[in-house]
Amino acid sequence: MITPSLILGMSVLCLVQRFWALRGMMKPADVQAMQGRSFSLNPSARWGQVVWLNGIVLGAFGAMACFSLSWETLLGPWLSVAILGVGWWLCWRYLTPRCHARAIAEGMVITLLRLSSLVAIFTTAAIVLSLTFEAMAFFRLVSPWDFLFGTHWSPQMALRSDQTGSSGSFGAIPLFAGTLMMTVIALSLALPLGLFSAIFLSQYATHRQRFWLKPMLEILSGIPTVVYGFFAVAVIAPTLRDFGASFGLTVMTESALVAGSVMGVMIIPLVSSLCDDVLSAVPKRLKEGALGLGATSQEVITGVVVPAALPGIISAFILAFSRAVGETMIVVMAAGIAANLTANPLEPVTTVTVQIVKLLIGDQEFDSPKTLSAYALGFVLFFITLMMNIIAMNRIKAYRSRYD
Amino acid sequence: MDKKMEAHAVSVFYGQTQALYDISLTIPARHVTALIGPSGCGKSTFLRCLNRMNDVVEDCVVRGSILLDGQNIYAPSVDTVMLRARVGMVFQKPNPFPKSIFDNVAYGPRIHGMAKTKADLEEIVVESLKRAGLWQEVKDRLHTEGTSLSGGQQQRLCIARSIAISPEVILMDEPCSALDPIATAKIEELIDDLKANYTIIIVTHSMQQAARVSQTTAFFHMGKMIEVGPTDVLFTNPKNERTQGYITGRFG
Amino acid sequence: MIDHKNRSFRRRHWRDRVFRRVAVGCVGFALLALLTLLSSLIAQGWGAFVSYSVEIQAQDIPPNLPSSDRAAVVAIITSFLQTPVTSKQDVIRLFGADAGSQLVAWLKQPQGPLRLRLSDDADMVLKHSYQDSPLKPEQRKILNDLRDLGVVRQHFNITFFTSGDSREPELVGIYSALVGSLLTLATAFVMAFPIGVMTAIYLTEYAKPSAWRTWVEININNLAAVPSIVFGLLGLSLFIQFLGWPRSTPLVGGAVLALIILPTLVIATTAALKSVPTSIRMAALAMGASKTQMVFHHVVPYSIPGIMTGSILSMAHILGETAPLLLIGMVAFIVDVPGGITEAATTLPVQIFLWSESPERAFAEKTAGAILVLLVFLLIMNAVAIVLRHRHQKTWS
Ligand SMILES: Nc1ncnc2c1ncn2[C@@H]1O[C@H](COP(=O)(O)OP(=O)(O)OP(=O)(O)O)[C@@H](O)[C@H]1O
Ligand SMILES: [Mg+2]
Repeated sequence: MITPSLILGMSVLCLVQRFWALRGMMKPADVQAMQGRSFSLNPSARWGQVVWLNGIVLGAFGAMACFSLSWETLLGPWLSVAILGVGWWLCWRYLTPRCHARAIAEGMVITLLRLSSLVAIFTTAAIVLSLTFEAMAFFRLVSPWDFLFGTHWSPQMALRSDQTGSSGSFGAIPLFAGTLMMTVIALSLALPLGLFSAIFLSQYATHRQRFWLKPMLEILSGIPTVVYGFFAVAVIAPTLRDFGASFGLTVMTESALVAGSVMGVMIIPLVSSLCDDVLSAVPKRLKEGALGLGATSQEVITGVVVPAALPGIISAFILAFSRAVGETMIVVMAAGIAANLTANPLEPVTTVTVQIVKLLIGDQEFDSPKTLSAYALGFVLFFITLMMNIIAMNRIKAYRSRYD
Repeated sequence: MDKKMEAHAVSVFYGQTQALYDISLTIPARHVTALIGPSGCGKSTFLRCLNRMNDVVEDCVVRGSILLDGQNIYAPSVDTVMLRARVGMVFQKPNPFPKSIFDNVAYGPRIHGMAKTKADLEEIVVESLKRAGLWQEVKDRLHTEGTSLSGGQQQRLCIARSIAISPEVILMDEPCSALDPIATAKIEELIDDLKANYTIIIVTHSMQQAARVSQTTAFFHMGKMIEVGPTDVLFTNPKNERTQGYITGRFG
Repeated sequence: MIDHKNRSFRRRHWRDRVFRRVAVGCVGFALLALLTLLSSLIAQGWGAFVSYSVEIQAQDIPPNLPSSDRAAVVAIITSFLQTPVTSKQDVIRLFGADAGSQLVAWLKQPQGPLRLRLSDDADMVLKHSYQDSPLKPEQRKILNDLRDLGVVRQHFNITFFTSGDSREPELVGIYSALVGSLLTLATAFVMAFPIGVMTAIYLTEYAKPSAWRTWVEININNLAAVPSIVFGLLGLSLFIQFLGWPRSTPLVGGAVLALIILPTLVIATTAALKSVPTSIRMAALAMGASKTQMVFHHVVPYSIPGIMTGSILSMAHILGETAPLLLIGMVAFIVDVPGGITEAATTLPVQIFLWSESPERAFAEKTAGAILVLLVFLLIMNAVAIVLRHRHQKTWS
């Protein structure tokens, strides 16, 4: 049996390697003996072991790789032995009393850490690349002009093979308009309510009230959007419909108002916690100065605290905006899919995110304009939120430099 | 008297601003050397140069040379880790690790591989605590958190921690400034005991303390070393009038 | 003069009071919204946890049952009723889709009373006594008779926690979705946690202030605010189309969610690492610890509670994530429990979305019930995080 004997052989090799590695390293007693003479060397035993371990790991990995790759050809075992041997030889060579084992080991650790920090950059790059790539493919089929300024959106028509993308049914204006309306409704609810909540929390609330209110708002912000979506459909929409009916208004079940206002409620805690942070960070001396002049607390807040925190508040608003633009589940569930171009908030409208979901749910073919148009929409969405994030980040930076 | 450390024309820059100007100072072995001077004159900066803690500060540049037993500690081949194992440091505010008292003291011996067995390690810990005069107070609670001790005990724990790796030099940056008079007296007593085996450099704001514990005193002012000499001479008969002014309390 | 001052004074105080009340009102509105949300969900969803069955004692079951299981059910029920039944369909309509198999199983092993599950429509009528129920009047009459006979029993709906999706509302359960969520979350955690923590360690402890570090930080802050649906698009084109990973699986879902929480995790870990004071770092360095020893012996261990809190919170965040999972096809109809991360699965929030699309009233109840389960999980995770944060607040000296 070749496998057990190979494993046995490797274990023996490892033992030999370990023996040599230990021989190459200094004992703690030697370290102390050396202290009187020199401190330019660090033959610390532990770090030596790290390098030694590295040799083993390298060898084992190489062995495993070769083992699984070419076991049948019988080259594998020999290759594994060879790689293990290289690892062993490297360790033996490096682990002399003069080697700076710690520097090598720390170098490996830092390289690992640095590599992992690359993932964030890769992610952004992958988003940009994939969106651009697919959007380009889309714009080869449909002209960007028609996409950005067309007023008719019905991607389903393009499914028919005889009119692939040429029908001009990819005009995204209704989606942009719907997104905008939804965002405006949500923000006109969330911004004032969130800001005033933050003012209450940071300026008026007692310690006890804060202790209870903050977790409550955290719960509100931790509720998944799919829950808000269900809430909109199952509770708010019927209520609003009955309410409208009592005034003789027809509120559609899937209306911009329902989705927008529920989205507004969802965004309140985001705005309030961001604003709370910046309002609480306004130095006390500013407030006390104004109070000392005999201003009422309302005058202090509107005249001193809010202006001082304004850059932070604006960046909170911008983040709320990009949150509203990118919100998906509430609108998928509570707004419509019909691409109406309307200014009436009681009618159903559709948004960019809804269309992305509707286009991609189910099976996709990556060469149809229907699928690709979702990427074009995604590209627009990413671009808008990117701009907003950059503006918000600059604002926050400006705010920080003001009081640090 | 043999020299333990020598500083030759040490200048330190924090970015554009210069904090120390051409300091040259000899530190005798098994002696207590005190550094005194008004706030911001660069005592801590100088102290941090002696075990290269300034390397951690971004854009801090050190010029000149500092010798430890005749070897330049700023030479490129020097490993700061080994250096700091030989030149220990105690800080102004006690800063025990949030671990047990035992682990606090055992940390150094562990990372430097100084103990082969558990018994060895325990011996080092007990010995260090005894030398730091803390053993009687903590021997029954070695496994409680170091941060649960009083301020003075914490500072002695920090001293025990640094002598556990048997350094040759101990740097102390205002070790008593956060302590009450009784704890201060204990630490001063401890310094007096320690000087038989270690070279100690202490920064202090208290002239009395410098006079009580040190054999040599150096007076710093505005980043320059104004005067250095035996403590009794410097305090009774200063040559420089700025020294005179400082020790009589006219400025600083 | 003084009078004038007084008047303006009063006006100013009035404005002050109004302002304050507006602020209180806004917080009140937020709390009211939370309350409405929770109470309406409980009102709609409690019914998912109870269900009704007809329980018949063994001695009451007539001998010589017809061989067809449905006919047998009808025979048993009709033997009970005083009034004759005009149509067998009326009886069948009242019972769950698996009543036949329940009977067969009981006949094989007759222990205790025979339990026959009621259908979703009958169930809803018993719970809410709707007027516009899809049940016909004669069907409702049979149901009422059964109830008057005292054989209709209410019990805990164990099926809801032990089975997967189904076309029949009375048979649905969240178990498959829960397992899917668990697998997806575990995948996401395994992928994101090491990378996130290592990135944070690199950024806070090792990276010098440089263009590179700024660039990475900008990237992370920006990714934290990118809409999650964009990550879904990325997952679709990168993992499924480009790398060819299997669609609809926890593997892809976990990978997408990992990318979503990565920035949150990095930011939380960074905050935890930064909260370790400089004095501790200095102490470690002065002991002759190297930089890496300082980081891994002191800074990282002391910030573990903070890192754990951050991880739990970000896990809670992606537990409710839905939109990106729709794009990578985790909307499949999953009856069986997924056996691994490369098998098709769905997650709890996606299941909620799918059920909410169904028109039946019983599905609305099940949706709300599943939401309650989801919220309980989220609440537990948040509570654990808060407790962890309070318990491990370190005193540094
Ligand atoms: N990290 C740093 N960055 C920039 N400048 C620094 C830094 N540390 C110290 N300085 C400056 O160097 C000078 C000397 O500071 P140092 O801390 O050495 O003074 P000190 O004599 O120890 O004062 P004190 O008695 O108050 O502790 C001061 O002017 C200080 O502002
Ligand atoms: Mg100082």
